[in-house]
Amino acid sequence: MRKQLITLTVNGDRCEVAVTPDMRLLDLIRDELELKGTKEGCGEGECGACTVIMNGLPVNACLVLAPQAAEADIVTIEGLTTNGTMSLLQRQFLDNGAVQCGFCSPGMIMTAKALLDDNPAPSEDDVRDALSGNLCRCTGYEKIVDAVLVTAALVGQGSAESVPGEGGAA
Amino acid sequence: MSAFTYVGKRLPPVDGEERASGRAQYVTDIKLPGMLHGKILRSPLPHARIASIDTSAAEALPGVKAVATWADTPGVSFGPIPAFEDWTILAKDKVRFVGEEVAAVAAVDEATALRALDLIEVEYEELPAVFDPVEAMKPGAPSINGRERNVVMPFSLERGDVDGALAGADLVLEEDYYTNQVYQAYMETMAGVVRPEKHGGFTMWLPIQIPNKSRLTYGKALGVRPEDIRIIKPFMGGAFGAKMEVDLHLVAAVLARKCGRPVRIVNTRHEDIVAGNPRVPMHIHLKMGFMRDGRFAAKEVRIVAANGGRTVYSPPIMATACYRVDTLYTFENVRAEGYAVDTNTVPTGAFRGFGNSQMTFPLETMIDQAAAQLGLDPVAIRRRNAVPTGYVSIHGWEVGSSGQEQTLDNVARISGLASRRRQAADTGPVRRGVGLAACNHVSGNKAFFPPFDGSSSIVRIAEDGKVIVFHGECDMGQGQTTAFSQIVAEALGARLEDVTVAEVDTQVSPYGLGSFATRGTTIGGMGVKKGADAAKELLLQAAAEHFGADILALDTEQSEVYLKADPSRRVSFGHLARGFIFTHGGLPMVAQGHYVPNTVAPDPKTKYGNVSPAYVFGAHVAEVEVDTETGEVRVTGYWASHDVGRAINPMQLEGQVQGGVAQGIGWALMEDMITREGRIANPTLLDYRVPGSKDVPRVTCDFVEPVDPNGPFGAKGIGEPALNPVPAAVANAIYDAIGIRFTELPITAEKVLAALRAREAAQRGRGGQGFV
Amino acid sequence: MLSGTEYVRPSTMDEASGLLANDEGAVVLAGGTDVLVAAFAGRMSVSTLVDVSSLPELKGVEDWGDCVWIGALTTMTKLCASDVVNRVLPGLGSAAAAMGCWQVRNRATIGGNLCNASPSAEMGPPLLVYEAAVDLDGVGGKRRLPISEFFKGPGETALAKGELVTGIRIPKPDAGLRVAYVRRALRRSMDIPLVNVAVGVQMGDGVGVDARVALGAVAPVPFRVPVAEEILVGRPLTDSVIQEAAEGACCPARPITDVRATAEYRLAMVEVLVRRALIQLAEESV
Ligand SMILES: Cc1cc2nc3c(=O)[nH]c(=O)nc-3n(C[C@H](O)[C@H](O)[C@H](O)COP(=O)(O)OP(=O)(O)OC[C@H]3O[C@@H](n4cnc5c(N)ncnc54)[C@H](O)[C@@H]3O)c2cc1C
Ligand code: FES
Ligand code: FES
Repeated sequence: MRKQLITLTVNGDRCEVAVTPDMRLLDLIRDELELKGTKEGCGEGECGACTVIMNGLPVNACLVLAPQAAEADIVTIEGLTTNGTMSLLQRQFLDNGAVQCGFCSPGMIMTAKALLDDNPAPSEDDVRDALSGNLCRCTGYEKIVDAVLVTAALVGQGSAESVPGEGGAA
Repeated sequence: MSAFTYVGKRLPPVDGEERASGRAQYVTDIKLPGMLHGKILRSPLPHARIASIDTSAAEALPGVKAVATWADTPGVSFGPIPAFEDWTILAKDKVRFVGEEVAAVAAVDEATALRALDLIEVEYEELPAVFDPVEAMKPGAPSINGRERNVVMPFSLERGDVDGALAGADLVLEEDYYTNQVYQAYMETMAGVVRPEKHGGFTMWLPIQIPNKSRLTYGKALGVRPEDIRIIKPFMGGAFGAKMEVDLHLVAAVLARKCGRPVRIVNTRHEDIVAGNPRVPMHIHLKMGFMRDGRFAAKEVRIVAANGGRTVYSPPIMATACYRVDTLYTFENVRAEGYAVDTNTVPTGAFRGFGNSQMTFPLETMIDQAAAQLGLDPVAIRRRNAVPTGYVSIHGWEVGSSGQEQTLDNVARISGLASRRRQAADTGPVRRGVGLAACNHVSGNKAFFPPFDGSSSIVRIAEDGKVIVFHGECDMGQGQTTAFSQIVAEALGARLEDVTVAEVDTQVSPYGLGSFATRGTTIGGMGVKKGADAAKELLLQAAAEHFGADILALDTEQSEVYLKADPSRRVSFGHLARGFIFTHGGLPMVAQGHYVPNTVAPDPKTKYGNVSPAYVFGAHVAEVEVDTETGEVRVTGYWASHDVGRAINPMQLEGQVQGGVAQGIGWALMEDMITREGRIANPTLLDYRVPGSKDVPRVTCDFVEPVDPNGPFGAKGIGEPALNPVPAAVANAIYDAIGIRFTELPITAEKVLAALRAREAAQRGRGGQGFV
Repeated sequence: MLSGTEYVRPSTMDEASGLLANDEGAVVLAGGTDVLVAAFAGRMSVSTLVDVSSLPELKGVEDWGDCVWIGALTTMTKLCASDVVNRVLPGLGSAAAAMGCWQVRNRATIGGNLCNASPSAEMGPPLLVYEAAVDLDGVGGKRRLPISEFFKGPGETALAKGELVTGIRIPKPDAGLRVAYVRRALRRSMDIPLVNVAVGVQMGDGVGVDARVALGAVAPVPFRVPVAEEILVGRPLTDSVIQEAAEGACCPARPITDVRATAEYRLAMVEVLVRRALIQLAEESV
């Protein structure tokens, strides 16, 4: 099995990583880059715990091979914290009670971020639709949906600017 | 209420930032120097003798550091319940279920470990197997663990005059029900990282609900003293009852011992489903007598429950199903008979509700049926039998507070129950209906571990005035850490941000039983409150010296002690703690507190006792739409009212209720571990369907706060009752919509459609089954 | 597992087809949502993964006047977002939107969906109704097959060794052809259809002049149902005609029983879904 060097951007940093064909993007992120925030819940695309944003779209990092991520732009949950401050979206997840055990949260938040980047004013149906690939066994989803809707509303009102460390919509 | 600073407030989780930012370290995130990766070879057969195991090829594979079989274990039998010790860490000479642990490998990485598993040669001689507990009890059934008729534990109980009451009843209903096997589906699969320590001991990082009790079991299994096992519980990705004693932890320990290096094992989702610890499936026969005015005359129940191939917790779960609901209403005449029975299926255990949820489904559907037949309102019939504050049940359970009647009234009001019922007149293929179901539960269960009940804490005031709380309970994701922080901050008069609740580490945490039986907030909460009360005493004493004032003249708030007569005179906890520590040679400023509930373990024979310090009640209303052409049921509205004693954190309570309702909807409608000849046919999250974001409605929550005398600030539990009534509420709503009662879970679209078509055929006067 | 597997990303068609032709165990990797799941679960052994994502011949959604050409690498997300698809081939767009979940749709390609050849493939019925053709290219040169000849059985296609699907060519339907896509699954997202149905009807003078009915998940391959189509042609789209067609559609269905549903239930759903799809069209036309 050949190792090959790939370069990619993760949370804004260019990295060069030696990967093997059996390595998943998830393994690259968790084991090579030691970014443990991205979780594995099933390893077969069914739970969304491993969701990261790849070239602007949420994908299951367990269903992308590391070599497929060559030259890709990846954002993981760690990328939403700027200078030690969480994004507005993460804050709203907490303030709205959307985080219980938290194992689904990184993936859930990444999908929600991708949604808000794409659609700053989603309806409840839009949110439920977008998040339907992220399973959560703790919350029953209601507070997660609310957190996303509240974030959208706050950003819509322009209060995002007043949040320190806030980069972008969510 | 308004007198509280933190209790009753909608506060975000105190440890939420770690979770939301990805910084929280779960067991699956731990990487120790020299750590190896373990994999388990599991039985492919439901019942077989192991003729031989050859591990030589696996051992020879480069990168493999240890291969273990039964011969590498201490070889003792053990189990979570001392009376039923039928576990071995790895199978000795026989396997009893598909997925049973046969051998294990530790290697430099997972891929190598997996390749090594392929190289282990096991020769099996297949044995006849039995999968259904009723079949397993029959004469001639294959013997699984050598028990008579495969019965692990029988249960029986009788109180009052059941036969007389049934004879005198105006209406007697009798029905067979089946509650199926479902999977907890926590998002973090079972895992463990185990490091061998000198003197044969271990440090284990585990997602586990009951570290201290597990240590007793693990010590026996590994042939060491429980004290030689240090369990650390980091952040945990859900459990819902499944993560009590887990064999995988012991397999990791055996491998770690053999190769002298830390070993990590994480279940794949597939392994977790086939060899987890799912809900105990039960055949339930229920017979009830009713009086015309709605009084419940008598209840008789017979339960046959599947234990699986070895005993986790099915015996007490079966027993719980037999009689915990007897305190949901003022029953006077009850009889129960139950059996936990060995089967060649995955071992079964606790899942939110611990048997009470299984029994609530038949009970609450039958009550609904009785109300309909007697022409009574579903709220009225339940109120007629409701349990008041101060009630002592026929089994001796002392209900210190009950908000049951209010939960019924409130849920009816917030759901607009009366106006929503009987919409069955809709036209078109979709029929709408609403259903009500009630529930009760405990807040702790003395019967679970009779030697000891209660909880304790150590509260330390550090030299900077920060408060660290050590306890032996377990936050598995339900928000216990936040509730404890609120309770301690409130009791101590500390600022919430000054309080840290330590994760459980058996080396430093006081002994505690852990998280089960919805005991955390009530019993665990009392334990930390007592510690906080004691710490406040210490601080007041130090402040009394500081001010030269009497202790009674002082109080605390915002991490400061102040003179009640002159609140401008204040001294910080930090100042007091520094003074204390520096004048005591560095002695930590530490207080301890403990709580011993007034519980009484049930008498082994009569079952008379008082298992919990506090009892809770709840009532739910579900609204459904039934598509009569496809059989699909959608839950379109949901309302829940719970008696929680005192709401410590309403936002977290809502989260518990909404999560419990989602799980209940999954169980009621779509979740099923389909087992064919002992093999689980749907071991993926694609085909084991837990509800997604589009499958559950909003849940409107209401909390009734009768303030229990035994809870911290009056609080009682919520975790399990949140789920208990859901399947019955949904089933009753389906009845309201289409007039058909379902007695078997889950109520799948196929079952609904078949029932509709069967009724149509019957109405057309010809028999007939199936869809076409 | 993939240990021992090689990964290559050829940049030309020739290179790709050469790799596929000369290596027994070489497998095309597009979005990977089928192939990686199967490989990780050990259901598929792979010597080389041939990542086709750099082949320009497989990319794009293009309006060619008389037909729409959809590159094999087009993801479900891109299909849903494509103007021409939404305008001219709305039935395909709704099928793409129904698949799996957002994360999967962002990776899953139309080519992968066809080549995986699941009986329940989301793209099967709509492409049958739109009478698509599949463009193939490989060591033996280019060829084109009607979609109805592409599926050969569960997991089996007309692809020859060393051949790739480059794109799907869909003749622009007459503006009057209305198409509906409906599916029945056990969960409202993240679920494989138990039955999926596409119907297309064109009315003229109050009667059906063109009718196309295609079913998925109820036979080894998705297929058209001429019996039902004939019922619809030359007659108005009334309740009774719709019912007759819905019942007619069941005749050729040969569903299986699996963990998701029984054959009987699937068959019952064929009738319901065909009826509902037709009712939808009937309502749209008033
Ligand atoms: C969680 C989940 C949910 C899903 N839900 C659905 C669903 O609802 N409906 C549905 O239909 N499917 C579903 N799928 C299956 C899958 O996503 C689709 O079939 C998808 O379209 C496959 O595309 P891909 O690009 O990922 O294919 P890949 O996995 O890359 O390839 C699939 C197969 O096609 C071959 N192949 C791919 N492209 C070409 C080509 N251009 N030429 C020749 N051969 C090629 C590959 O070798 C492989 O055999 C789901 C999958 C997952 C993981
Ligand atoms: S771990 Fe990737 S989807 Fe579950
Ligand atoms: S918070 Fe536990 S799975 Fe979502």
